[in-house]
Amino acid sequence: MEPRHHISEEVLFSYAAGHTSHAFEVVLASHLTLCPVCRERMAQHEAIAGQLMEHEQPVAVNEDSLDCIFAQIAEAGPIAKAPKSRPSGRELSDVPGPLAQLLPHSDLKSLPWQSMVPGVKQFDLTPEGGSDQTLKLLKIAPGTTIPQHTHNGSELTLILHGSYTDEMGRFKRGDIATLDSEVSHQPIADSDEDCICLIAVDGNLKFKGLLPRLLQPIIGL
Amino acid sequence: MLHGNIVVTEKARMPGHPAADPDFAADMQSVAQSQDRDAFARLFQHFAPRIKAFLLKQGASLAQAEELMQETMVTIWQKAHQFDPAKARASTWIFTIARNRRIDRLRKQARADVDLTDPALVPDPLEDGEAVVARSEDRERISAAMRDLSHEQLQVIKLCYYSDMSHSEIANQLDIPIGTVKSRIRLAIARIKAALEDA
Repeated sequence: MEPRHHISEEVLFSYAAGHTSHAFEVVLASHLTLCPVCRERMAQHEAIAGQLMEHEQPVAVNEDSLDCIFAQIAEAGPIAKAPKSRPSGRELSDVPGPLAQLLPHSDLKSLPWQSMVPGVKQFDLTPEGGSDQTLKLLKIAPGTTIPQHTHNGSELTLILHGSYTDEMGRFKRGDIATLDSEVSHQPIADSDEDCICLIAVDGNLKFKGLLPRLLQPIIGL
Repeated sequence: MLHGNIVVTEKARMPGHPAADPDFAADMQSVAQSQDRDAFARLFQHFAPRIKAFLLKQGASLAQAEELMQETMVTIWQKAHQFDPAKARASTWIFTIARNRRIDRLRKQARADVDLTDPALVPDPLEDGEAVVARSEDRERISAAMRDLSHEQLQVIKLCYYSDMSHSEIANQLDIPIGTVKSRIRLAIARIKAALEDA
């Protein structure tokens, strides 16, 4: 089933332009894996960016540029056209590839989870050197309520398993929530299964609002 | 250093007016199917100076921009078989390659992206032919409307897209009032929107 909560226009714009952190990219690419609607919106953002590049005032390239390129092509050797074979064990996985690549194995339930507070466990995926970004999986036991809280910087939450409900609605597999310091919420894991979410935080990110907001009626939902 | 051939070609193509929309999709396919070096040279002549300009706008030095542009062109050659003209224009696909090469260069982790062969992928809903055509026509209209934007409108939209600059920073850089930045953006978007609504 298609997700009902989608990537905000500001965030999608920033991802298409190539301005988001790696942690954000993992969450966004994982949502796109599960959401054909946002894949199409993303394609439109990229079409606009492609047109902008098309309209660039051409800049002179080095005189030997094309020769250098052909030399690099020759050095790289023949092109392998066969699709890469998938790593074994991935066939049955329902974990989106951009996340699966970062995990020791693709069975979410048997990861080495660390307890945070009763009913809540986490698995940290923050990349090395990602000083202003964090990426983690959270596992919330059925019926657990996370106390009312706001967020530092910008935060993306993607539901992978189970569901939760907060002031903004019910979030199930594939749904994504965009949260920032202005949003305060109190999610409750509301099904009889663990709710597993992928969360990225970017302390530095500020979205440049006007252009994406204006694009929304064109590209958006 | 100007490359003689490129200048001649650009004149022939009338820079700023690619409205004839030369069929780079055909050149892409020639590269993919028969490693056609002439077709690749045409892609190079058109796109390389623009890719380099795009990279310079994003803060690369001249040497870095040249190097990344060359890497982008090598990747275009190697991945040409992945280009699908039904899904994207050549300029869109080439933008994504240049964007990703730049990110790969800037940091340790490669850009995280969707893999359409991912076993977890939720596929596009089955659409009738009409819906598919309507979607591709929408993209064509966006492209056509953008070709009709004024230089000033394009300039501010580019700065929004390429750089992480705020509107006041853009106003500073162009030495125009912030209200002008905003009104140019609004007008440009209104034109793109009008083009879609005329459908």
